[in-house]
Amino acid sequence: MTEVIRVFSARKIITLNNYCPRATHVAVRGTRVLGVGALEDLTGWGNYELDSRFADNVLMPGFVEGHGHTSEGQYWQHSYIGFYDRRDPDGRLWPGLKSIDACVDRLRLAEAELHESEQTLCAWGFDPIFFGDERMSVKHLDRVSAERPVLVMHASGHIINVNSEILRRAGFDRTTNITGVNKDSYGEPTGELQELAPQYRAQRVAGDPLTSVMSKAVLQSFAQAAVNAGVTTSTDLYAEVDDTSIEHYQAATKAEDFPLRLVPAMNALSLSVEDGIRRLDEIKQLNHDKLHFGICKLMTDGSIQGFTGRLKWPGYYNGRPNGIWHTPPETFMDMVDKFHAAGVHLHIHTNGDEASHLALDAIENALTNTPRSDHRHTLQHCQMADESQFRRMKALGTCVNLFANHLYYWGDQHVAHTMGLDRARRMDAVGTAVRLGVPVAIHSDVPVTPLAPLFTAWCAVNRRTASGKLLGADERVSVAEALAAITGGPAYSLHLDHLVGSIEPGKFADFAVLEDDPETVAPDALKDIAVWGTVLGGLAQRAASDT
Amino acid sequence: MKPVPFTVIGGFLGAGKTTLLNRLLTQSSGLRYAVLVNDFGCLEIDAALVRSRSSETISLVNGCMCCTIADGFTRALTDVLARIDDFDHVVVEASGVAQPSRIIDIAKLEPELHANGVVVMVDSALVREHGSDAYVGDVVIDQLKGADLLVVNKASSLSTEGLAVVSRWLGGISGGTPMVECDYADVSLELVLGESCARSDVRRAKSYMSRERLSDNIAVESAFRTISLESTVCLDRSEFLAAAASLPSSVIRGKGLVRFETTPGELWLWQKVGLATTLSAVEESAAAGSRLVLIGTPEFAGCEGLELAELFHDCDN
Repeated sequence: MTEVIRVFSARKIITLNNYCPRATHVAVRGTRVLGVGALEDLTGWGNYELDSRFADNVLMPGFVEGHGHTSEGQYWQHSYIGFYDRRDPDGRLWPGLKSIDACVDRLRLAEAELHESEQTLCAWGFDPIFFGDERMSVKHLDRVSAERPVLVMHASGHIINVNSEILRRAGFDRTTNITGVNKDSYGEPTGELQELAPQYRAQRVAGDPLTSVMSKAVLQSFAQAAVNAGVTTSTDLYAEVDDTSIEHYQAATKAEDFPLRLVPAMNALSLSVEDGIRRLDEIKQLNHDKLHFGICKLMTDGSIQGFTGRLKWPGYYNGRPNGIWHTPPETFMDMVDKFHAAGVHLHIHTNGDEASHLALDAIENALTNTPRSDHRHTLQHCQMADESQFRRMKALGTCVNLFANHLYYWGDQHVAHTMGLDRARRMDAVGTAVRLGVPVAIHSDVPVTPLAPLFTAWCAVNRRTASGKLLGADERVSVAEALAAITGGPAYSLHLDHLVGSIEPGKFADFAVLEDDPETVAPDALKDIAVWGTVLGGLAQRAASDT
Repeated sequence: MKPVPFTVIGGFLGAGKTTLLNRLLTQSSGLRYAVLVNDFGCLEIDAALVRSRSSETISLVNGCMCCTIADGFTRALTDVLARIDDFDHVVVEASGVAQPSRIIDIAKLEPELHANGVVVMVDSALVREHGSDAYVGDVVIDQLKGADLLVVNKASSLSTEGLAVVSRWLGGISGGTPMVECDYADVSLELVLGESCARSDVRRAKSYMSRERLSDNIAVESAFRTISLESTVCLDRSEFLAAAASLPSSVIRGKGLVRFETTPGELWLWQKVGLATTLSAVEESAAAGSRLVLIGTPEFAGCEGLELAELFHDCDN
């Protein structure tokens, strides 16, 4: 064996392993860790090269994003007009926009850059909740362009705004009386469109600019975003598994310098259950170090902030009717039963507590029919589960991946509109999961919220909304528990904890390279720790920056 | 090209949607259906009828096509619209937890389609249980409320009294929406989809029984009653609207091209499915006068005593 041994030195290495929690050196051979500790503990492996470029940095296990979407790479082809600052994969910081007029200004600049007159200008990340009574309308978007179609996606994912050109092409006018074509007090469409039919029509006449197109370039862009955030393993949690998509995944991940391990989850509805089981077996044969097929994603309901989550009594705080089942419950139970019996690993989107109740019923039913050890089926988001549901998760051997970022990005809205104070205080109950011993992870659901695990950990530790309100003091967890929830926790939920999630012999040499020490900064400053980049399989990857 | 009718079929699991959709796909009347379904697996299509298939689409030798929408409806719909000239009718299966009223809106906005109604299949023996189910009760009730026509299937599985109770319960929820009873989803396609109305000519028809063979062992009788009305002069608009609003509940569907006294140069298209009616101005055509077709259940008495018939010169039973 003539592979070179490299020893990285660092200010500190937080290993998250069970025998040597802190170290100063890590030995790497090939793509894996040989050992970690003090330099003299590692020299026994043989001649080595010392790599001291990280001598002033803090290393951690590379972060694992257990619920993300590579479509982040596609979104950045369009204009970001959200309220919060956000960094694109190239490292450029896009300041948050604090008024609708500021959104118009940014879009006017973007419009000037477009050369093709027919191309629709798209924007994303807009959230009217920050602008009080003022709603975005054609009045604003017509200032961006009167001729070119302009389409804005809201952060909630359920509303779009269009300009007059799209209204005209779609045939929406004062005589249109369709649910979702919102009108002003004069009876004229405002350009705000909700519901399937109006949005479908609008997108159609605008040339379907938002059709998701996964490509090698999209994956590379996403991988760069991961490096910027210290992430070395990420899910793509609603993947198509047709031949073309598989080719893109392979082409991207086979590149030696592709800086990310991808875990695409097959969309359970893309094929019949029987065909899906067969397809999973086929594509698992293609797995390699940076590509891990095998998990399968199902959905029960929609989203709470979009009022499409399925809630138990007393329902939505503001009286809105209950949300929408993604699949009929009976069909869902049957699908879980069949996938589980075939040995498939399931990740189940459930936002409302009625939805997570169904998910638990389905897993319980499947286990009764087919006992199976160590299944690690994971409830994703699971935002409104109460303690009784966490106890069921524990009893059933289920993992949970909680949407801690919601506490910051939508916490105030949950208090005021969707759940009310009580349920908001117990939402995304990382503390309860830890206390009851339910294997727990936390996530960003990028691009719904930005990919930044240290920020997500900060949310779990501090539980503060954007306005600074503390939601549920007793559900806060320690920094150590939060760091576990962005490394070993998600690794475990993906059946990859033997490969990633801690720094120890046999696992991949995947590190997050930080400028500061998460164990010693003030817990409130966890989100401000700068990321130098990552190391993936021993290969260093620098975060992109706009300097 | 004339807009293609677009019908949404809702109803809970087991209510009979698949049986009905099977009939559409395997019929040999020459009508080319594009059918969007949740799950191919439930369909029973003879291999001999299949011209080609992929994981998302099955094309049949009779010109029909079936697409799966389990993974998202818009992609299949876009494909159908791209080939809309190949089809006479688009039928969408709405799952038991979908909102058919929102799906039919697509046809109201798309110029190549015309909204042909929301038909909800009802399992007469189980619907009340489904309506109070902890998980889906609210959705079941919403679907019943949003229907233009209720097909009360498996009617013979209940006694006469039992069926009357269920009908009353359905009536209380849906408020006057027409209901048609059947077994094995054997309701006539004229009632459910308005097939004679969908034809380009509004022509004379007689009341009759048509026999369909579902399989070697089962022959099905479909029953409906149609009348056609003609007039060579223009109609009084408010009298027409009043008479159309007072049609008996046994009239399920109707379609006509009418001219009004106050607007002699204009041609208006009147359409009815269940309680929903629309009246819209259409482009001038060569035909003169007004003509109308009504389709109802066998209980429909036809021209006899019909207020609307009195406004026309001719009423053909």
